[in-house]
Amino acid sequence: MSDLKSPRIRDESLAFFGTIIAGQSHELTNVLNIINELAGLQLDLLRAEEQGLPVNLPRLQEVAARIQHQVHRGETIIGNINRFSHSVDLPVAVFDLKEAIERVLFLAERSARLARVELVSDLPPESIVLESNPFCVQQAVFTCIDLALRSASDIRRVVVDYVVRGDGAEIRVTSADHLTQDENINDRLELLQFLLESIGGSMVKGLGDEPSGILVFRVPQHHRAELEVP
Amino acid sequence: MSDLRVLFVDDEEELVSAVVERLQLRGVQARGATTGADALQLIERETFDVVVADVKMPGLGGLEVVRQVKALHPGLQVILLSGHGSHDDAEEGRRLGAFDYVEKPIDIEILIDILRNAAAATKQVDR
Repeated sequence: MSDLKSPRIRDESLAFFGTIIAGQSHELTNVLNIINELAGLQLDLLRAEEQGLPVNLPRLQEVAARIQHQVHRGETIIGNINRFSHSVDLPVAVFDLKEAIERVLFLAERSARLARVELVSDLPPESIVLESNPFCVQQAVFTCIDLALRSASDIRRVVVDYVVRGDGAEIRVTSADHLTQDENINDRLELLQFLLESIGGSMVKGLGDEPSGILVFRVPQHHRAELEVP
Repeated sequence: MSDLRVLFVDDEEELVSAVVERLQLRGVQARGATTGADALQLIERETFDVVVADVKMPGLGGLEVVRQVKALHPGLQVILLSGHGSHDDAEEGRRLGAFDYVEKPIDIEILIDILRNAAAATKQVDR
């Protein structure tokens, strides 16, 4: 089971893609709803003139700035969806690991927020360009974050970082709480294992290893194996 | 100023702020909360005729708000709000005793009509 031709990996990849797109469509809907209300508020403020009240220009400008802020928020969401969607274009591509992890953190933020967990990026200034399957690398990072969110009952903070080591990088997902393995997360661990195999990576520290609360996996800088992405 | 007292609950702070202000501009005594837990605390401290709560929020979601409000204040009406309409959520909300289920984007005039109907139902129960 070392490539993406496996039906299991293909199904999981499609499910991951769906989870991300559905989550971001919710976020984008939130943005549109806010813009709708702020535009409505502007109209309400302008109608004050009809009642003989002076138009409050600074207030209108403030609401316009809030609309602009939401437009920028929407653009950021769309930009990330777009880059994420294009990550399935090629089975092997040259990409910046730091950018890929930042994108996953952005895309996973909704899941973390709903789980009331603060997702923290602690990425080093140093980056590394990988030649690998960008979609699988992102899915592996997301799966680790998902494991951290699922495997502890009272975590409030998950930190993601990486170190460039040798001919590759080690990606770490650290929880402030003890991560425990149970049958609910065994399938996620198995999936992570399959994903790492498909990109020539390996688990450096799993849930059962001490100290608890840290998941670490390694990805090689170059992995040109022919992969089939759904 | 109308005598309609409304608590609007959504985890998007900007949405809460805009809707509360728009309701206030229409004479509604509106308050806002960004979590289900904060909403329940406000309900214990202040009097409301209607609560509007988003279904999907971190922590206590709208369905749980309905459940707890109905347990503590059976007469207080709750309207559920959703960004992506889900038939299951609407059904579950009604089963728990929600007065209505409104999909975003909000039409403020329609919302006010629903709020008035809900407030009338609250007052009927109180009598």
